[in-house]
Amino acid sequence: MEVFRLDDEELEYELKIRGYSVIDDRNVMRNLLRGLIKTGENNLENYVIQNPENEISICTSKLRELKNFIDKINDNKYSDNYRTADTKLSHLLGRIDRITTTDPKLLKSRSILLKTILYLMREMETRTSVGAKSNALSIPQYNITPVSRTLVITNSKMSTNLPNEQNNTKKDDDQGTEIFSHQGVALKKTNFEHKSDPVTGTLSIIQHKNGKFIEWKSTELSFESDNTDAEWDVVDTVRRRTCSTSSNIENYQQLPPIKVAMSDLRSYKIKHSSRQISLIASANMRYSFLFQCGNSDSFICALRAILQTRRAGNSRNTYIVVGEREESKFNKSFNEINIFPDEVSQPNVWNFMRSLQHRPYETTMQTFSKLTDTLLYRTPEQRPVDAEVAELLTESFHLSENDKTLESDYTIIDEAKKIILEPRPRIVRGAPLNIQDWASRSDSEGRVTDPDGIKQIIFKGGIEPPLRYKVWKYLLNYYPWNYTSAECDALHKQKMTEYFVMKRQWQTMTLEQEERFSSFRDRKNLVEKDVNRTDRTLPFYAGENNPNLKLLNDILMTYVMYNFDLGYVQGMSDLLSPILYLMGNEVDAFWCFVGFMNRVYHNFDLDQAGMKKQLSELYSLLKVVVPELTDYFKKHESSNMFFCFRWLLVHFKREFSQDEIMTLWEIFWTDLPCKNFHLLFCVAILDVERDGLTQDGNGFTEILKYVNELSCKIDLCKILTEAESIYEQLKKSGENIPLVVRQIIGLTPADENDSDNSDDESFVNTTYPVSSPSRTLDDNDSIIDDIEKVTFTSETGEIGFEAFERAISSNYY
Amino acid sequence: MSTKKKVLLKVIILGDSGVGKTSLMNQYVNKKFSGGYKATIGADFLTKDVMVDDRIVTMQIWDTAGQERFQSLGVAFYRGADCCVLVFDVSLPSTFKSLDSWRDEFLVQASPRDPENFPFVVLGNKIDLENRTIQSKRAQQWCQNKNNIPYFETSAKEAINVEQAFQTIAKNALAQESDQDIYNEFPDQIKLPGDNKLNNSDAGCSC
Repeated sequence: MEVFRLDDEELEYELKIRGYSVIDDRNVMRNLLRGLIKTGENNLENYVIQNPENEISICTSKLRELKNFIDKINDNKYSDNYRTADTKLSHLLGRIDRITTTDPKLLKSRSILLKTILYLMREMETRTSVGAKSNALSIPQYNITPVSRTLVITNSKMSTNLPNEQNNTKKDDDQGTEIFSHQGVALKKTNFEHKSDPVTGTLSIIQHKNGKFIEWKSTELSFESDNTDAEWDVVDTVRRRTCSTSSNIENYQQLPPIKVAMSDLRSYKIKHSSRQISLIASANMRYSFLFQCGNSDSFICALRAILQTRRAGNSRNTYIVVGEREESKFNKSFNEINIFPDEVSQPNVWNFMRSLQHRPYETTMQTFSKLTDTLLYRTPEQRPVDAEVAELLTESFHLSENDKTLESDYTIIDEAKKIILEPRPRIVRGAPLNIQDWASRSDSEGRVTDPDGIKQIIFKGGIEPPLRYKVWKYLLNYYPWNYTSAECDALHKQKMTEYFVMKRQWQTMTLEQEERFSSFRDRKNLVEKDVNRTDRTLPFYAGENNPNLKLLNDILMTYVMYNFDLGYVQGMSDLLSPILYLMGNEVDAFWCFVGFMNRVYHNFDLDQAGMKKQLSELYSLLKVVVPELTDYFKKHESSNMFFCFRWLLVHFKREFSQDEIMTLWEIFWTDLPCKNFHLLFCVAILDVERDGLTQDGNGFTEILKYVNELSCKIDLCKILTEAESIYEQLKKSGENIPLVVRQIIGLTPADENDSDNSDDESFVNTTYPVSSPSRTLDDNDSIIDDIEKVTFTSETGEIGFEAFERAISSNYY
Repeated sequence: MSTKKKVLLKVIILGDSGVGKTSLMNQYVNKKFSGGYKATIGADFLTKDVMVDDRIVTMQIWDTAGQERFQSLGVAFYRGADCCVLVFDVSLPSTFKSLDSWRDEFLVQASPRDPENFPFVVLGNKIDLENRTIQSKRAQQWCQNKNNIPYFETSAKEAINVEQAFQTIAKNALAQESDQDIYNEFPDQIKLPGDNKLNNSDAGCSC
């Protein structure tokens, strides 16, 4: 989806269905949506369209507008109008598909809308026939010859019979019809028994005479093996190949197959960004599958087409099966659209989906060529415009008497409730951690026996300054709490060596080397510039040729070598300054700084995604705690919350004195009382400053000025008390507050923290690094990411391929 | 044309990190220089009332962070700018080379109505330094090629040419602002609902 082609209302819709509140700034919305699409953070389940009638009316009017757009397209498949129309069609298709209603009248309208989309798609193809023809002609260059195309169609028609042929060694002739199947799915757990070595297999949904079943069979195969002559079987390559390969191997079935009747399925749970799914059947049978190739999205899609599910109240990723559907929504969509005129039967849709996953390029080209065949080379006269479609487009189409004005009436379920918060409790702060507290929680050899108790005291009152030097090393994960003093000394020595090795790396860089190493040079220049303007008013860094400036420089340069991808970003010197001041030596300061950076490196993302996420989370929190303020910000073009940027980027470093910032940071480092406490700290400041922020009808500029001028005027103790009180308030309010907000502050665990799957973390981390400090965006990678998301997060599968075809074109031409 | 309406001119200062954006702004508004300025994080602005062609106008001068990665946030601040000041450090060639991308980025993000004629002013700062590497001629050449952008050589530290440069900035910004205001030259601006949406429908970058 080309996000920038969506208008505000469409952007808002796309964000809302992903559980995000609306932000005034279009670019922020675009970036957020791009990020969500890219990272696959598509929680498309937790919204409901409140007023299907209105939604249909919006879509109708949008389709009419789109018609005008499409009328302007002539011959250029890559024109702005074409691409805009294409993006909007994708958006609308998803949108219409999401409308659920039982009203037969509305169902009818929905169906007409879908038909209209198909009509408009055809219309677009016709208008760009010249471009499309040349496109079709170029297909043979990419391994699909006209001959192979014929073969493909034959094969794909045969494909539904194939399971019978392959498995006819078994006596039972009810092999059923395959509705869906996914290769490369490993069985991880059976009834809580872990498979130390997950066995790979195929997960399928099969229609038998006595109902639908989920089946899993083990296979031993590699997808690469079928690369040699991929030309002829683009539709169903992977599955069929696999079967024929494996049937030659006698002992490939290491595990007995698993068969679960659809009617027995009680619930399922999705984990690890949809890469793992657990199925819980009646009789307490439980299976966990790991999708080693792709993710479970299309499987879930297929499952939902058959079963009606609802989300379990206590967990975001658990779905309870309500019952089987009479007629699945998806089949209906596909049938209505009938985008696969050659292959009417429903299994082929999943074949298409599956091969798109495994051989995206060939499959797209192949399907596209079929589309061209059926749609393009027929003259417009030969395909009569559906009367209903014509009616809709000529605006005589009416839903009902009270055709409403365009108004977005969809909402996130959680937001539908009116949020009533408990009163804020009174909070008393405590005394700072002192040497007695420390001694009484350590043993004779120097191990800290009660780190939680220590953290609790720190959270309540900070640390007495003389003790900071010691405790920060633990808080910043430099020293492990359970190390004896002797072990800490040994660790220190080891870390010292490590530090100087890295330091030598940049110190020994010759001028000539530097000249040919611009990314190093750039980082070095930036460090130098910022070191000279970091806290120069503090005595510790004041004056010309202050040796501490050199230390600051050396630590930052060594950090550049330690984490070259992230390098140096403005703001880091601010984070290091108090640490160096406290530690007084470069080795300890460096490793403490590393610990701090590990907590906040997302603030320095190249695309600022980490900052944008926090600003958006801050807005969500504020909306629950002080809705008057978010209302005000929204009305005054300030809901992007940019005025809090500096607070977040350098963790309030610029807002407090050196002494205060040390107290605040050590409190944040305890991770108490919840995650993202720093966001609650922001909320508390904004709440306390509410009157000042909103005085005289302040707009964005005035609010920014007001916030910037709060620097060094904030009462730290008061805000800490307030922030903790807000936390207690939210905690007490429990289910009254939206899930998104509970997750931000960890009241409800998000995916990663799900206690149940802590044992699986290692797999996820080693195989798919979820995040790296700074992602370099490789064009090809990002295109492929986009394709995958566009294609597989949409419930209807088919909307992806236009975008897909285009993405490939932009990649090749 | 002249009314008693108070005119607000929005000026954006852009340029690489450390070229002296904050210093120039402070020198002009507060008439002082300090070596103690910190790297700008996020954005800030100062205002100053000045006389331009017998009119009192308020200049709102915006100072932003210079590191490239923070530019994606720029759009929130660039909106409605009347003039853009591009600053480079005459002792650092790389900062001069960046001018092109700063200019382009600004035009993309602010998307002014008439990009060809949007007023820019270029300042070559730090002429008090001895190790100057970008000569006036080269900078002037660049400015000429970009539709004759006015060019000033300044020193925020020694307060050289700062006043003159900002006088020109104010003048050009005012000309721009008047152009924009022709269609609603009323004592009080009438805000049309949805006005912003229309003006910014093409802002932003592509995927």
